[in-house]
Amino acid sequence: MKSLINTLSLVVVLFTFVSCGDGKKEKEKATETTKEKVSENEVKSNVLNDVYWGDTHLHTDLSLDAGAFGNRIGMDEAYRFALGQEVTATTGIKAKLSRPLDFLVIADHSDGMGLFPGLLTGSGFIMTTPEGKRWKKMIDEGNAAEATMDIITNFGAGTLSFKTNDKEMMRPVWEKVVEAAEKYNNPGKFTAFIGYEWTSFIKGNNLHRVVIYRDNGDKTKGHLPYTKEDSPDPEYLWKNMAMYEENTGGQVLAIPHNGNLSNGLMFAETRINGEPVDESYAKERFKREPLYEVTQIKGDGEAHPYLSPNDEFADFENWDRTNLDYSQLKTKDMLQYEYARSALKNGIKYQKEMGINPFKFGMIGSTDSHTSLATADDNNFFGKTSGVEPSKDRAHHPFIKSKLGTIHNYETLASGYAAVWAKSNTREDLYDAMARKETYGTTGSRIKLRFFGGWDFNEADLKENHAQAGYDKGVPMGGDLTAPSADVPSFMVYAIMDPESGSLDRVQVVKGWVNEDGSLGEKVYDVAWSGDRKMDENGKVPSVGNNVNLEDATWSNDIGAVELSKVWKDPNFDATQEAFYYVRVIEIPTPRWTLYDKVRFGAELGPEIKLTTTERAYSSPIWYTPK
Amino acid sequence: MKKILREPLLHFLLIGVLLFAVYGAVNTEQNENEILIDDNLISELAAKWELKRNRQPSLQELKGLIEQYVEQEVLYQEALAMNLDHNDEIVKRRLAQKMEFISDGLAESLQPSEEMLINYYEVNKENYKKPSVYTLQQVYFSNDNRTNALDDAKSALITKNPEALGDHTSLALEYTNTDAIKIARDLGSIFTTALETLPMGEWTGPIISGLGIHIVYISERKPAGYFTFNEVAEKVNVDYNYKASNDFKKELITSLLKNYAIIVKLDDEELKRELNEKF
Repeated sequence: MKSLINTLSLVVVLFTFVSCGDGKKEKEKATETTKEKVSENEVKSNVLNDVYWGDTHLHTDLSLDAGAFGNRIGMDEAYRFALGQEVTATTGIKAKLSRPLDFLVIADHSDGMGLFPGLLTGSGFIMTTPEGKRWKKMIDEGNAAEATMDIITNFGAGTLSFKTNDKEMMRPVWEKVVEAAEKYNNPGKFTAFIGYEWTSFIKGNNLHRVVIYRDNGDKTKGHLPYTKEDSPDPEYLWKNMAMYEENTGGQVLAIPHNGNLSNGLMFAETRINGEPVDESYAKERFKREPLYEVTQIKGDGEAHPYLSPNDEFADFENWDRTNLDYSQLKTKDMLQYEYARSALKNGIKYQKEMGINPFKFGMIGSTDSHTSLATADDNNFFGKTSGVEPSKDRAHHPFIKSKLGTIHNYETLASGYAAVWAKSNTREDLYDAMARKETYGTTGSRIKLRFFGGWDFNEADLKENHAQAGYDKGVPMGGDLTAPSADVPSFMVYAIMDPESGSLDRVQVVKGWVNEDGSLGEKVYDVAWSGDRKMDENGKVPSVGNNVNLEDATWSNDIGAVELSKVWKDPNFDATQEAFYYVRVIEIPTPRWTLYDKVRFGAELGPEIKLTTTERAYSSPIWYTPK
Repeated sequence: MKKILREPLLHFLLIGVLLFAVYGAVNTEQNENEILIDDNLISELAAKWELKRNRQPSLQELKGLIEQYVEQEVLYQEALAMNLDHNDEIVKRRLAQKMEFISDGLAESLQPSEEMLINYYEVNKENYKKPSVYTLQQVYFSNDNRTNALDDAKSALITKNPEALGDHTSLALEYTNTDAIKIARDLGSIFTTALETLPMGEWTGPIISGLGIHIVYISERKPAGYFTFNEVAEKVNVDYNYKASNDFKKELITSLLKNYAIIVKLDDEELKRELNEKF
C-alpha cells in the first residue's frame, strides 16, 4: 500500500508538470515549428581558413573507467561546458571555461560503453556478471579508485568473464551518444562530432585510438562502435572503418594517442600479428590515421631527451617509466617507437624504402579528460578524473599504481587542445581539415600558428596578407612540398600569443631527414625569438628566463613576444633526401596547475613537484619527398 | 479542470496506477514459495546466452542455466523473506538510482508546448543574443617594439593621422561588416567587450587587449539584438529540456518528501538548525 501511495505522489508531480502545458497537440505544433525553423546562422566560409579550437577526446560517465573514477555527469554537461556555460562538476564545484570551445568529440570507450550507468542503476547486463557485483560493492564502499584499477587491469589482461561488446548493451547507449551529438551540433557555431574511443591495449601497452566520423546520425547510428573485444589489432579497426565507408558512403578517421604508454608498440616495426610493417599496412595506416594526439593529460609525446639529446626543450612532461597499467617497466630501446618526432623520422625511412609512409601524420592535442569537462588551462584544471577535481591534496593522489611503482597525479599535465584551420565551423569543413592535416596541437594555450612551405617565400610576404601569400605560393601545415623550383625550400611561419597566456619565447623549426645510408638525422632550428638575445656559436638562443612569482602564481609577459614571424630557408637542404619540417612554438614560463593549487588551497608540494611550465604548440609537418 | 481530464498523459498514468494495484493484488495470491519454470523462461535464458556467445546453448548448458536460475531465485526469495534488502546500503542506493532512472525517463517523455518554449525563450533571452556587427579600423601598438606602447597610443590619439603611427602586425587592421565573434577570435574578447561602449566616428581607445595596445575607429556598429524565437527554436528546446529534467528531479524529491517527516536529532545545534530549515 505504501508503494501505491508513492506511485500516486509521482502521478501528482507529473500532473502538476503537464498541466502547465497544453498537451499533445501543442507538442506536435512545436515540432513543426522546429522543422520550419529559419536557421539561426548562415554558415560563413573563409577561403583563407580560420582556426577553430576543440577537444577531440573527452570522456563522460558513459566510459567504464570514468564512471568508476566517480564521474557522475554526462553528455549534456560535457557539451554545455564546451559551449562556455557553467555546469556543476561531479564534486559539486561550479565549472566554466574562460572561453568556449568551437568543437568537441565525446569519445567514450566503446568497450563496456554504458556499462557504468548500468552498474549504478543496478540494472542490465553488467549486474549479471561476478565482476559487476564486485565493482559495485567496491564503489559502494567508497573504493572507487581500486575498482577502477581492477577494471583496467582485468580489461587489459583480458581476464573478464564477460564480453564488453555485447550488442544488446551497446546499441541503446550508442544511439544516445549519436542523438546527443545531433542535439548540440550547430553548423557555423559549434560542432559536435560523433565518435568514440577504441581502447586496445595488449599486455597493458596502450594502443588506443579515438574514432571520429564526418557524418551525421543517419549514417552513424546503425554502425556500432568497434571494440577491443572485437579485436585489439588496429588493422581490424581499419577494416571496420573501411566497411563503414563502403556501406554508408561516409567518412571516418582514427587518432592514436599515448604512444608513451605503449612500451614500444605504437609506432613499432612489427605488426600485432608478428609480421613486419609492409606496404599494405603502411597504405592502410596512412589512409586511416592522418593525425596523432601528441599531447594530453597523460604526458607530452612530441620528443624525448634520450632520443633528442641536443634538444634542450625535449625534456617536457614525458611519462617514460612504464606502460599504461604499470605492469612492465620501460626500456630505452622502446622510446623511438613511442614519440612523434622519432615516428615521423622512421616514417620517412619507410617512404624511402618502400615508397609509402605509414607514419605520415599531423598533430593535434586533446585532454582525454574523464570528468566530462574539457579543461586544459592550468588556472582552471579539473584533472584527469573526477577524483582529482580541484582540492588541496589532489596532487598526491596515486594515478597509476602497481607493485612496480606509482605515477602520481601531480605528474598529469593540464593539456591539450586541437587547433584546426578550416573554412567554417561545420562537421564537414573541420573533418576535411583534419583529414588534410591542417591542424596543430597545443598544451592548452590558444597560440595562433600559421606555417607554409614553398620555394619562393620572402620577407615581403610577411608584410602583406601572409595567409593569402601562403596559400598562393606554397602549402600549409600538413602538406607536401611541390617539386623544387629553387635550390632550397622556404618556410613562412607566423605565431601570435594567446592573449590569456604567456607571451612567446621562441619559434623553432624541427627538421628530420634520411641520409643516403638510411641513417636518420634531426635538428631543431631557433628561427624567431623575443627580445635582443643573440644566437650562440652552436646556433642556440639563450634561455628567456623565468619571472613567475611562486608566492601568488602570477607572471609578467615583458620577456616574451606577442608575435613572432619568419621566412626561414633550410641551410642544409639536400634535394635527394626525404625530409619533414614542423614548427614548435614555446611560451615563456607560466604557473603550472600545481602552483595554482598551492596558492589557492595551500597545497603542500615537495621539491619533486614542478610549479611552472612552458606552454607550447606543435604544428603538423610539411614533408619533402625527392622525385 | 475539464482540459486536465482530457489530458492523455493523465489517462496513461491512471491506467499505470491501476495496473500497479491489480498486479499487487494478484501477486499476493501467488504462492511465495513457488518458482515457475516455463517455456518463456527457457527461451529468455537461451536468448541471453546466445547474445553473449553467438550460438544456442546445448541441452546440458541449458540445464546448467536453469539450475543457476533456480538457485538465484531461491536465494533471492529467502533474502527477501529474511528482510536482507531492508536497510542494506547497496540495495538502498540501487533502488534510489532506479527511481532516478524512472524519473529521467518520465521527464524525457514530457515534451514542452510551444507556449512553454516561447515563455522560456523570453525569460532567458540573454542566452540568445546576436553578436554585434562592426566596420572598423584599428592601429596597433606593440609591447614588443616600444618601451611604453600605452603612452604612444594615447599620444597618437590626439594627432591627425594616427594610422601612420602604429606597428606592423599580422593582426587584421580592418574589419568590414564583421561580427564580434570573428573579431574576438582574432583579438580576444577583451577587445570586443571594449568595442561595445566606445564612441563611433572618431579615433578612440586605447584598448589593452592582452596582445598589446589598440586604438580604433568604428564606422559602423550594428547593435547585437536577439535571435527571434523561430531562429533558435531548436536550441531553446534543448535548453528547456535540460532545465526541465533537472527541475523535475528536484520537484519529484520535494513532493515525495512531503510524505515524510524528517526528524533531526543532533548535538550540533548549527547543523541541526540548518537541516531543519532545509527540510
